[in-house]
Amino acid sequence: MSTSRLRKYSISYLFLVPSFLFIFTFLYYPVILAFIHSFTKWNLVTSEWIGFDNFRVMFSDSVFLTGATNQLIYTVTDILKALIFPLVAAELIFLIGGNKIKYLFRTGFILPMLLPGIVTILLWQNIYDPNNGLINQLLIAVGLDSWTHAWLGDETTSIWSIVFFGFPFIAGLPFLIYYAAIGGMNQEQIEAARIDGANRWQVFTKMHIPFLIPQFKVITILTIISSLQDFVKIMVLTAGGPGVSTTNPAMIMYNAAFGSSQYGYGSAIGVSLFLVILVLTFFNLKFLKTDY
Amino acid sequence: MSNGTQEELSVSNKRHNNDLKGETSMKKRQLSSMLLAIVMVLVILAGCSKSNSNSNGTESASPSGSKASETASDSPSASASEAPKEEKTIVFSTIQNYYTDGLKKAAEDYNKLHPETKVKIDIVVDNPTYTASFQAKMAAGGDDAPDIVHANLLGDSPGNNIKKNFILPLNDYVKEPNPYNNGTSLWDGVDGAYWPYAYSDAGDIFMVPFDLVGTGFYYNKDLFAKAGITEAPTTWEDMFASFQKLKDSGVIPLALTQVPGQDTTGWMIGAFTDWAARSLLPEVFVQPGDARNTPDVEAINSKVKYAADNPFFDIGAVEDPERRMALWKSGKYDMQGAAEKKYWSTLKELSKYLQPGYATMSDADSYKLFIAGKAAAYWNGSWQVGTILKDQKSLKDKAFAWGTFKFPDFKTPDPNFPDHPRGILVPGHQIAITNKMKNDEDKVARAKDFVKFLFSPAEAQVVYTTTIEAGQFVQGPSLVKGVTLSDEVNSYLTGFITAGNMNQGIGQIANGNPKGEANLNSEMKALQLQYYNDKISLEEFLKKKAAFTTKTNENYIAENKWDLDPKTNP
Repeated sequence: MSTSRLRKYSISYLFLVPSFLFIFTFLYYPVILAFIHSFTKWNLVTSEWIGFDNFRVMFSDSVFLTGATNQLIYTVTDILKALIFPLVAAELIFLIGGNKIKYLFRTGFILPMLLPGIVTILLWQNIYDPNNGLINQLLIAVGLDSWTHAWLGDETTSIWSIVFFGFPFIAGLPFLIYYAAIGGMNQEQIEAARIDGANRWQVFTKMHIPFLIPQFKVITILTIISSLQDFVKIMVLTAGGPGVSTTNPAMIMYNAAFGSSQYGYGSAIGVSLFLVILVLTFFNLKFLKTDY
Repeated sequence: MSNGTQEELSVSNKRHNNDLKGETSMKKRQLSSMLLAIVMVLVILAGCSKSNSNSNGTESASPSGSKASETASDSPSASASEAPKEEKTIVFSTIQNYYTDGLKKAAEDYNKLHPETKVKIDIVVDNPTYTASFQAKMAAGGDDAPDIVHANLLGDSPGNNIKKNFILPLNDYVKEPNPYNNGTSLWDGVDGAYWPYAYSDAGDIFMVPFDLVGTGFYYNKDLFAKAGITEAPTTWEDMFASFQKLKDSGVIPLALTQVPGQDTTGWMIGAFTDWAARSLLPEVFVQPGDARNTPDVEAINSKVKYAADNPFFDIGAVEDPERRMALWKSGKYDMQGAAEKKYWSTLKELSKYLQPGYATMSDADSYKLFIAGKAAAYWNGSWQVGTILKDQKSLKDKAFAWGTFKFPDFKTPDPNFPDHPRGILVPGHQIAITNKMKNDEDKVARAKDFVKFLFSPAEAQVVYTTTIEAGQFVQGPSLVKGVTLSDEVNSYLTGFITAGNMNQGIGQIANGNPKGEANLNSEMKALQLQYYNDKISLEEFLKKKAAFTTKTNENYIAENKWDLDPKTNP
């Protein structure tokens, strides 16, 4: 860059400096530190270089492997939930007549986004409560007392109770993405298809679905990232229990670092999660670039 | 300062006049300048000295809300009177709800007495954060570390923390006269039976014990009576019979949590292993000829003699973690033997009477079941008394009669479980002083003075009363002589006093996980739940538990590079 241009934009650069300093200090620097510490045995006071030992321990640890398996269940079901249910909702609202009703439904689905996440989690914790929870109370009310259950406290149902969290799974962001995309479709083409004899199902499968592929990709990658990072929900609902039946790598990372002062091991798990997310993101970006 | 200023002005005027005259020689001017400088220095010193005495006078006249303050006014402490008048803040770090309001009141009272010292009560949310924060701050030089801390939450052995210069040895300090207690030292002002807990493995006093902490059962007397139970159970067999009656009457017999990170059954497991393996304890204490032995340690441990009928035999004994691992390795304790079978069967039986969802229900939610009258009993610690008292008041006409009972015996004496079980019975609030001598010696002196103030009977009383009124945790009966509590509170607190304190370390020979790692705790809990839920037999469970113990203990031994010979250099 020439000196004259640098001088010309000096004020702009000067204003950008604080932002970059903050980003580097609080985002990049900790990540770099975590990479370094993942090769150490570090308890905040002493640090010893141990090479790949943390990673070796991680992949031979039965708790971590259980957590990884659970994570696979969470991620796959999270993707399915994010791909299917908001799409169905968006399609249904798009189909119903009357702008006012559309607006009303749209707002109804978006409004819960304003609730802090922890409120929703605590609400579901109460829904599942074995003694006073909504589900068990409903079962008792309809005479199905024998079906009442400690939904989160029994390892046969706990992981599926977490999967079922948030039913009917119409998350605001995917819903908005789908709805905006459907609204942006070429309605003349769809009309032409209908005139040619295509029914609604055919329009949906042959026209909408192919058109929405970029949205599917975006939602998939966003869901994978949030699913792998999900810690609060599991911490509040079950703390990974009963035993280890609902734990996941993020939970194990937290326990190692903040429950046992194994910051090196915790960093190794964090770095592994980071790499998994990074690989999937690159894969997705490349995939998107090829097609569009 | 006003006198000094006047004199300065006067001298200055004189000089001004001299200059105006312009008749003095250079030598005279130099001489007068020198004299002027000397006079000014003397005037300033005189002013400062006068200021100090004034401040002291003000302090003595300061109003105070407590007797301790009055006592101190009569005989101010040496350290306080020597303290410079610069305003400084000392930090007392505690855990959320643990005497929080009581300590804040003590800080206010102290500040009235010593306006130059502000005591900040720093409240940390939980134990792991407390530990990590202290270790990190001290490792970073200690400038930001608190001045007064809980010795039992510092993340390393007291001996190591003294060696690392993280906390101060208090050997001489506790014997100093306490001006806030009519000259009675901390040593004499605290229940002498609990000083043995205050020694590090090198024989240094590392803390001043403030109270006792214990675990036990809270029970709803009304629900027990409704189910036809008139007496609190004293044996496991009676307790199960009572719990069955309660279950039949439609209430949850017992609420407790087994959620990872909060699992309170760990105290029961600890009490059982201590009961079963107590006779082996002398083998884990440092012995003459050991590498870890010192004259001080030898003096303490030489008094320790195991006797089945003396639950206090090991108070203050200094242990060797390497010996503990050697004992495990020796196989002297049968990890799949009769004692193990009996107590795990007992715990499985107990699980049948717990609230549904106990494996993931938090302690707070378990407590809610008890206070709401849905659970008839609740297993926890003496620190919960303040909260229950407050909640009972809030319940008004829905309040219920309640009491406490201890960890039970077995009805029929069992040779595998000699005498009676011990529980947790240790000083809970263990006050230590951070070693910041190189950072700020004056602050250390002020911290020491505040601790003396806190341990005066009058101020300790204030701390207790304020804490109970706020519905916060008093951990148990006070160890400060002269503190009296209401009969009601005493009856609840003393209900937790067991005969002796269990040795929690001995559990490592049966259950492994010597470092108490959170993820390993979850792994072990998963195994227990498989057994409780009939997915594996008792024999399978004990076999898998033994394998878990081997894995975790071997890792621990390797990590510490121990050869399991206590005579070699650690």
